[in-house]
Amino acid sequence: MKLLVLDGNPEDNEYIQRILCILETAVQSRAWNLEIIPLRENTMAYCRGCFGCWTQSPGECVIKDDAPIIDAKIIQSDVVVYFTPLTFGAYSPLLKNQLDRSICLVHPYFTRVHGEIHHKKRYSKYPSILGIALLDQADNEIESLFHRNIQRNAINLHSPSFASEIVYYDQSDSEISATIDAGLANLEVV
Amino acid sequence: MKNKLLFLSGSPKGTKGTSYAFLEYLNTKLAEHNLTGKIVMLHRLLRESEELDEVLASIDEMEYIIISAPLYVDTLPAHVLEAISQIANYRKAGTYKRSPKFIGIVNSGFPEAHQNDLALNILKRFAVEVGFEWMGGIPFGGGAMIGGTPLDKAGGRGRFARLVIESLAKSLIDGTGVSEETIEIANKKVIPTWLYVRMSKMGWKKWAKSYGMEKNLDAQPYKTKILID
Repeated sequence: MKLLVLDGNPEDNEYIQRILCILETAVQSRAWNLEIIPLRENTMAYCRGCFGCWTQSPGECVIKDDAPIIDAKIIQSDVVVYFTPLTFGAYSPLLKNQLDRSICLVHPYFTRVHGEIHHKKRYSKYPSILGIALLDQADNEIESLFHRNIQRNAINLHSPSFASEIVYYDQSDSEISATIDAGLANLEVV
Repeated sequence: MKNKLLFLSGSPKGTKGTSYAFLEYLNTKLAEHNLTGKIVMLHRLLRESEELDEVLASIDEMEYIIISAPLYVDTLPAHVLEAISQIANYRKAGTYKRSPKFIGIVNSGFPEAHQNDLALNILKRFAVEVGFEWMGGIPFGGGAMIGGTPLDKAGGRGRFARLVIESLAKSLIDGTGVSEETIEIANKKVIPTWLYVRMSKMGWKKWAKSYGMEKNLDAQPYKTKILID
């Protein structure tokens, strides 16, 4: 079982490393493989909206920087973790940039999912999504926006399951660990 | 209200984007009342620090700020998030005197307008955090029907888009926000969903064919390929 972490924090700090360390422990206890990608260390242009990934080189972004490498890792993972601060309830621009550049993973044609139109699958298998938002303090509105965001993304990525959790900056290791364990358990990934 | 309208275009395609087409047509309608909004391309603004500084400095003087953006992966494109973050940093760092009225327009390729709601909720939260007066959001589905064509040249497929913008222009002239009438029009579909889906498929096939890729649409390049870092 492969778990890929997309770390969308624009800067690193001790607390972020603590969270990742706790996540690593949780993953290792399940005998899963873990890879963490700090997106801030990657070179990634903004999506141009050219749809070259659907027409010119189907399945691959036409911009050859670090994004296509991460796209390959996403689809080859069983779980992808979106680890991010929140921007007015949305993901960080850093994380969002990678996701904008990942629409090559789905097909341009439409299909119906629970009565709604979405892009159909390109691959037979997609990863589950675990969202972990890192906040300074509780905020019901932006937390709700984050949960909705993960849910909508999971629909569009054809994820078999999804979960979203919130970690706050002043929490103890045991609180962080409990949150992460809950998130992984909620994914119901076997 | 002259020179007090700022229009932020969130399309990375410049003047060829549907998001821009909405703002351009809005200016066409406002011109009938001798008004013009300054259209700024957010993706270019992030590269031009001098222009960015000018725009940031002008925000406090604005009567209305309207952002028009495409829906990318369920919310706003990354460069739009970055741009509004910069606006937020500027507003929060200084003491602003005024609260410009703020309106969001989000358009998507999905036919259902409600799929844009999350992006509009994010814009609303942004507006509240930076001290703008939120005057409503317009969700627009089926944006592929417009495909970046100027609305006054889009014929029947641009019918509801034009009506939405004309209704919005009236609101701006009246000094109000997004009306229920505007939302009602925005939720209408020019063609039934099944036809939209079919035409979309034809469009992608044709586009891929222009690259000689019509037989490769189903490609799975990452099924076995592991790209080396």
